[in-house]
Amino acid sequence: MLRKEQNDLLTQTGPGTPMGEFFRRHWIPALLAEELPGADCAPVRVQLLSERLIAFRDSEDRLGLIDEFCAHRGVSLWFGRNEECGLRCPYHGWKYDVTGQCVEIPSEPEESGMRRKIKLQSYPLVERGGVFWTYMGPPELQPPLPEWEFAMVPAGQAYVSKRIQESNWLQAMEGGIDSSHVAFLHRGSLNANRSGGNNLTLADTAPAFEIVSHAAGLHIGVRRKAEGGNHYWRITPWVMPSFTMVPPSADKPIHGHFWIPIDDEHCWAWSIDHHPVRALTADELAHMRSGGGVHVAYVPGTFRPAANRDNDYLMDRAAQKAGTTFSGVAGIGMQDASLQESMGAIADRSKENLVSTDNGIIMARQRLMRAAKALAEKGVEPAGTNPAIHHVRSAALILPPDASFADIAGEATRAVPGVAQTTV
Amino acid sequence: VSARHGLPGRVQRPNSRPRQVLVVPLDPVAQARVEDSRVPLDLADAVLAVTVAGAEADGIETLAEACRARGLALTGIVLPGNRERLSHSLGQLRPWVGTLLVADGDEDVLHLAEVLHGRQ
Repeated sequence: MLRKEQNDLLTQTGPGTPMGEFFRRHWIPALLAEELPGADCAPVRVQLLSERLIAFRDSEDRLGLIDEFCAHRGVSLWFGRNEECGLRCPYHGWKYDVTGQCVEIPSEPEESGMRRKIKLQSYPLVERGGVFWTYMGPPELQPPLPEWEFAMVPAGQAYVSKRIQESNWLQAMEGGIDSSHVAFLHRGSLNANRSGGNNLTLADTAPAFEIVSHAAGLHIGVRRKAEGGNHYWRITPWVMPSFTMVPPSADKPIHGHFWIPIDDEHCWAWSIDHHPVRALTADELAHMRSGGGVHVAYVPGTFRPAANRDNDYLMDRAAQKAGTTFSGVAGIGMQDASLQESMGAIADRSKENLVSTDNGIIMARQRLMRAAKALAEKGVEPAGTNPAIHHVRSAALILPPDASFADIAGEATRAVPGVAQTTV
Repeated sequence: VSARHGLPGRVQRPNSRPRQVLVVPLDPVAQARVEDSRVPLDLADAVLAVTVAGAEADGIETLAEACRARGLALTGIVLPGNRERLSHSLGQLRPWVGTLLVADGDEDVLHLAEVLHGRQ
């Protein structure tokens, strides 16, 4: 349960809002690198944190992320001509470079200096790990580039996709740290893949939870019974504001997610698979590209999932009844998204009734509210902007009953180059 | 910026009644930092057992047995204290609680109690 003012604080991320300013202090994923494939390619509309922007790659391969609308008459520069080191508005020919600086106003004499007084808002756009990242905060406070492991491993060891989710970012992100839903909603997927620790997950439906704070978020441990009186632990890291990872299974790639606000009623669900020490196999890549695992199939030419609210997510009641899927919706990503979208564009948390297994969500909200207020009221910089914080992994492991998850979390969840993940 | 809160047409009548949350400080240091909520165990819907890292949470077994007899969910909370002895505190609570939380600060207890209570 949250009061409306608390819910507003967490869910509103437009300019000037506390949570919006908190997001703006971090590097966030803006586009897939493949969306701007080459010099002078078509510009791409990008909306982030309720700001409408346009991304383009100029004739010299420089990347730009600028205000979508021409300063002259407010025309969308998506219609623009990307030519000769700038994006030209097709209405009256005004032209902008990657910094948003107006470099040409054909109707005005160059000597007038008019163009030099016109500059659109711009943000840096940097490629790392197949993703274009942007930073939308004060330029003088720009942190070092992000160092998430998936973005630092050699090419071929990671696969990244994104999909539009038709809900606020928070209810999407909360699914990423809600370990108690897995054995229900995703039971069909666990049943279909009985390798690794999935058998242990299915065998113990009353797990215990341990939640440990770290400098920039939480480690959420789920403990189940294992053979010989031991405990099977699955550890989910959450890094503020919105990076989560799924505990690994056997030698499979590790899943991770970013949940990035588009506006207050939509978000990008970024889905990542990476393996710390080996290339993804051809079969794994084919599965991911076809929308398998945490990825989805799309409406052609868009990032909207093929299963979406307009077709009731391709609900299959026969599969639901047979138990092939628990909810009747296929695919892990859309199983989550369908239920989260059903809560409404912005979930009304004043009508929730949370219980003790929701403690991870309760504590995550508390951390976010505290961090956003600390930044807004006292200027406390977010800890998650430090790249060292990004060297994190999920983990799955078996420990003796007297071993402390809190003690081992630091080691098992630290991403070390060339060292394999801790997995069962 | 849009702020469409909730779902149009969703029934707005209350869907629950407030719960009673019992907060039990387990050691003298926790007693000094966290207020006992003074909810009788027989009226409680959920129980938070609180200790400070490094302290002796001696009463946990008795409390856990009482909760088990009444079918009550028991959450353990370890407040900041002696970080070196955190494992000891976790080890004391782990066999008895369904959820164990290493808190960031004392105010986490009140926040958790409020949310579980369902207070508007």
